[in-house]
Amino acid sequence: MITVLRFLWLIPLAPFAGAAIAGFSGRWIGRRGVGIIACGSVALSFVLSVVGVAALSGDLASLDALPGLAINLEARRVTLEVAEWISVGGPDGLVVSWSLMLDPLSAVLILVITGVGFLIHLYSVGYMAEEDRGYARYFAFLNLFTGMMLLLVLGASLPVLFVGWEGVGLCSYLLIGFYYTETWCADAGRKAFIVNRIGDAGFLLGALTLWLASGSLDLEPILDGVAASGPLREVALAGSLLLFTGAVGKSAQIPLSVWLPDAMAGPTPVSALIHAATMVTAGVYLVVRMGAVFVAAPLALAVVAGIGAATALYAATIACAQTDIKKVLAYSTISQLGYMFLGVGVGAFAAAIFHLITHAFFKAVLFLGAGSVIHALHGEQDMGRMGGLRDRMLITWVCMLAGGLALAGIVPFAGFWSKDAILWGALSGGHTFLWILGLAGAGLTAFYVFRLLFMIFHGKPRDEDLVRNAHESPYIMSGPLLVLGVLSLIGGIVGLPAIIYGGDWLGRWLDPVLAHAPAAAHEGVHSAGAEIGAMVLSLVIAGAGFMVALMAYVLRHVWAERLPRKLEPLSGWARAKYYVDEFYQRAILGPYLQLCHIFRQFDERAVDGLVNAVWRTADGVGHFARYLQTGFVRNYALFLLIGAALILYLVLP
Amino acid sequence: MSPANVWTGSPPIDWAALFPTMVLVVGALALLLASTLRRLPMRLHGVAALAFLVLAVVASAAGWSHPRSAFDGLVVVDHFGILASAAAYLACALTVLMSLDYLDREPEIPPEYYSLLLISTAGMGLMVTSNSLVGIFLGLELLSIPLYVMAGLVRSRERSLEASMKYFLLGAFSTGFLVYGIAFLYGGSGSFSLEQLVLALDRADGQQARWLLLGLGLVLVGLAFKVGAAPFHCWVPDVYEGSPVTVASFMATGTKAAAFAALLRVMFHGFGANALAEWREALGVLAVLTMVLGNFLALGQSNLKRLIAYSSIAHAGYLLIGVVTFSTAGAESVLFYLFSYIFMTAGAFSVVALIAGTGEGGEEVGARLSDLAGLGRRRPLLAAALCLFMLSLAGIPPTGGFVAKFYLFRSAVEADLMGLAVIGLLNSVLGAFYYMKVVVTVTMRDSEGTTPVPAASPTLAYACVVFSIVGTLILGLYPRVLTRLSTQPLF
Amino acid sequence: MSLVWMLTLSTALFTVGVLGVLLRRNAIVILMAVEIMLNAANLALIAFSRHLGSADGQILAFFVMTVAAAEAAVGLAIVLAIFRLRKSVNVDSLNRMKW
Repeated sequence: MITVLRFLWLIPLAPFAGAAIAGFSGRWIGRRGVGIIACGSVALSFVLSVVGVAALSGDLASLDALPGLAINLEARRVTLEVAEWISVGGPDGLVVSWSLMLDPLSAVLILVITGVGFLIHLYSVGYMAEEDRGYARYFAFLNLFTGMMLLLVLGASLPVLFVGWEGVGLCSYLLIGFYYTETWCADAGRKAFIVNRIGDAGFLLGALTLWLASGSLDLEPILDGVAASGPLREVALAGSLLLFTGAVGKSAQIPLSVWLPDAMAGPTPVSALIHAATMVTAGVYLVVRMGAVFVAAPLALAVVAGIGAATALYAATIACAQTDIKKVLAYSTISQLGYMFLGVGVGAFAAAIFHLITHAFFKAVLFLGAGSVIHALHGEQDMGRMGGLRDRMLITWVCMLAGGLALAGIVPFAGFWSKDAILWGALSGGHTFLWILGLAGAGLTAFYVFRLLFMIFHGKPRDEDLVRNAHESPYIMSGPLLVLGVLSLIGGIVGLPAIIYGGDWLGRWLDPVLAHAPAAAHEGVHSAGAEIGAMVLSLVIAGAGFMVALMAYVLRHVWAERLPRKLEPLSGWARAKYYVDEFYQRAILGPYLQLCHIFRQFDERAVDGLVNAVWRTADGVGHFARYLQTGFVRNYALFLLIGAALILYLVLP
Repeated sequence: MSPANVWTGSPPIDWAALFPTMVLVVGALALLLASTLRRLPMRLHGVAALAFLVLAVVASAAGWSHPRSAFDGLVVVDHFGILASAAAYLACALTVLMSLDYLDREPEIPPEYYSLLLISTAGMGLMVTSNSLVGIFLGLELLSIPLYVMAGLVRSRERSLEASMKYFLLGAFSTGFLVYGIAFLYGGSGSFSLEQLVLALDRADGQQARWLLLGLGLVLVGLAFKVGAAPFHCWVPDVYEGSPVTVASFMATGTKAAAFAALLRVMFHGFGANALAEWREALGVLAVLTMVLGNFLALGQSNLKRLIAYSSIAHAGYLLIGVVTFSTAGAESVLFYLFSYIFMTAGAFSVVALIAGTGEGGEEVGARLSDLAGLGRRRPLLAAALCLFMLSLAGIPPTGGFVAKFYLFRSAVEADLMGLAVIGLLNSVLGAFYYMKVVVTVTMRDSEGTTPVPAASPTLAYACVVFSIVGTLILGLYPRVLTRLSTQPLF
Repeated sequence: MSLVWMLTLSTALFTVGVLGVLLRRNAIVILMAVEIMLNAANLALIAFSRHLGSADGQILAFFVMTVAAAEAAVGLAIVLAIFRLRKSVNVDSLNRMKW
């Protein structure tokens, strides 16, 4: 059983193979074939992941040392070297291998990626059924993404991780711009790619910083070495902040959050898989994975927590004012990612991962539900034209309700437990201010979730023509919805805190990886009463958000009618996303483009001019000089004699 | 004293050192005999020639671990000689491969073609494995005389005969200088052996020293003529243009490789450090002249054969830099350069060989640059191959041409020849212009519809193209296949 | 005769040969001029051989004669082929290929 760990490489390979088959032979195996290959490869990967994780949870000590397989019992970490990649400078030089690493952290992640990924693949078969020419392309990209994401979380060295990191970015770009004939879709893809590149530059610099200090690009020596004092510890602050820049880009945090709302241009299942459940959480994964480096630099952790809390609140306010169904969910995702970073920043690593998992469940169901609605309304995304869909789309409604309750943090849904774990981490760690920000965000979250649900499903249809023909989606779409809905309800079991007689399985499972995390987040220093009190308080605030939404959008209370007007210009600003895009356009892009224009002029006039001048001169000289070659053999003999004279002149003293 | 030794008035001859040359000569004679007895298909001659070449390679490579010598240094099979003759055999093999199909389109070329090719190759092998001026002279003549004939094998085509005549007259003229130089070297040193030569240089005084330097100058003229260095380059474009494509390719690759190997040996072994200032200055000036003239004159060419001819002159200039370094690294880089140059030049000629043929009036058609316009659309793979060879000739990675230039210029910098390295680099920039012109013509111009390019060729015809592509790419991506051989001492 | 005189004669012959190649237009005459150059070299070889008291130079002289014969055979064949095609052996008329 345990030898399956030698075949770890099959986990990412299966989706890669699927991508290759679907991408290169999609025309011959047909739509059905593409669907089976795409879903089957991810399902295979999921099964392998389950087996692998089961093996990891078994008795590793019994495992004989197998070639290429290294085991660290203390950290419950299995490293498999698949092949050599780069080898420079001899035995003492830089050696990078294609090596994969399975430990409790990556184990959790591969289960989420392949599990949720499989459900979304399945859903896509229904959702993309009307797609004509891009069907195989879509599934090839989606499979490629899954493989890259698995490579990212399994990578045992920074370069391998980076390949996955860039790979998911590439797939994200390709899928955002899936409808590339629409200019705005292609633009959105480019925007995502470029903004991500800013973060990636930080990632690369961070990786190089750590490499310079440690002499290795493998994760293990870096993570183990940073605990001891030495050059690695001295660069911990710079390294962790640079890596965090990468995380900020990938996870759309302030100030690089602008790409995620635009990324909704892609097909909705893509938004669910890439831009909610998996890729955007890669930033959180990176910070947790490199946690030891961050812990060595407390200031970096504080920055992470601050940016996380600020983003959580900031994005939540914008989400309250949007009317596009996917935009609301996009801002909600940014906000929830902020919570995860808040958790990481205050040292509650396990809570952050817990929230990452539950978020994958409930945000996926919300997106897929939204997709179901959009599908039923033939592409309409404006909530202002919906309403009263509950009776027509019962399954979707139930599932989205489950997801919404989880997102809003209503007990006993999954999101409640994980969000509360983060907030409790902040409070118990002494970060009271951040805790208050988080609480405020939780209230806003509840408000915009129920606003979303009420506007779509309740009341009277605001556009009769649109809603009249709406119908429930086919089973291949509603099936995954139901599964994810149930997971949103019960997913919290894995991390139920000890205080309410839960097992906190997840925390204990992750313990070997997170041994370096600050103690405060481990065992509450506050009393049990305080923890219960904090839970109740966050529940009350979520309830308040619900009540406001109820009054405003269902009961249509007079006071609620007047509220938005009272909040002008605040709500106007939120509707306009605080003009961040416009600010970037004016303050950064404008001057940058002007600079580019100047360089272009320089290139066209000076550089090209110079090259052309050289070319023209040489060409002219060549055309003239070739008449030396007269064609008369006696002239050639004369040249030969002249050459002989020249040589003799040079050689003779 | 044992009875065996009584009878050996002269030292025993190590016949094994002669095996490769003998195999080729016997092969040539066998083919000649066969063609007089019965008219066999031309392809059969070609395949037989290939078989003899393989035998020669085996016979030559067998001596890798035991350097041999025979006739008092007239034939020395050392590592350098084996590698250089391997280059000549490679050039010959690629020529045979591209001839297999090409000769079908030049029906006038008789079956003796392959015999002449093998004899010429035997001459090359002799030339590069000799430590004696006699061997070098004989090898040079043995390689040249068949080539004079081969250039003019299309006897009804005026250009072909013109090429033959020009090559012959100038070749014989330069041979006069070479022999005269050898005579003076003999007078100065009392021997034809390169080892004796370098010793004589050390102790020569007044008159003898003058004879030796006069001999050096005249021998340089003869060898510089064969490598096609300016101002002895004039024959190159005319002869390449007029000769049948495959013959031009053989001249460009085989002759150049053999002549450079011999030049390297004569300079490193025969003159070495004792006349360093003199021969380095002369070859340095020739290198600059050759690079500049080759590249500038190539710019205005409209015939692909002629363009490659000027390009081969320019490459001779780069190669001369490697000789001037007078270092082991320089010698190794010259050998590497020759191998990659053989692959890319033979590759380029083999593409021309696939397109060119006899048109109306017996004139050659298809070798003009304008004939290649639109090739990218009609024969995309062939066009891609041609572009690859052009990129390699221009020295752009990941091709062998890039790695070769890199090694060469690096050895120049290491030998403190900064000036030559810079001039070489500037010249390769200039070279990129006309190589790119070919690429642009092939990929972006539309055909003017003057000459019909054959729509397809028999599979066999692509053998040389494919081999050249593989060689060019392997030397570019994995140069260690060759460079690891140089862990052994060269000479 | 001393070595110097023989070398002087050889140089004079070589010069005659070079001038013949440069100045004459008839291919056969040029061929003859080349032969004169080779024979000048032979003369020098033999002179040096006698001066040095070694036989090596005379051996090379034989080789050179053989090579010259081969060259002459090939050269005359080429001239013949050209004459058949053009009815002329003037090398100045051979300039279809230039520039």
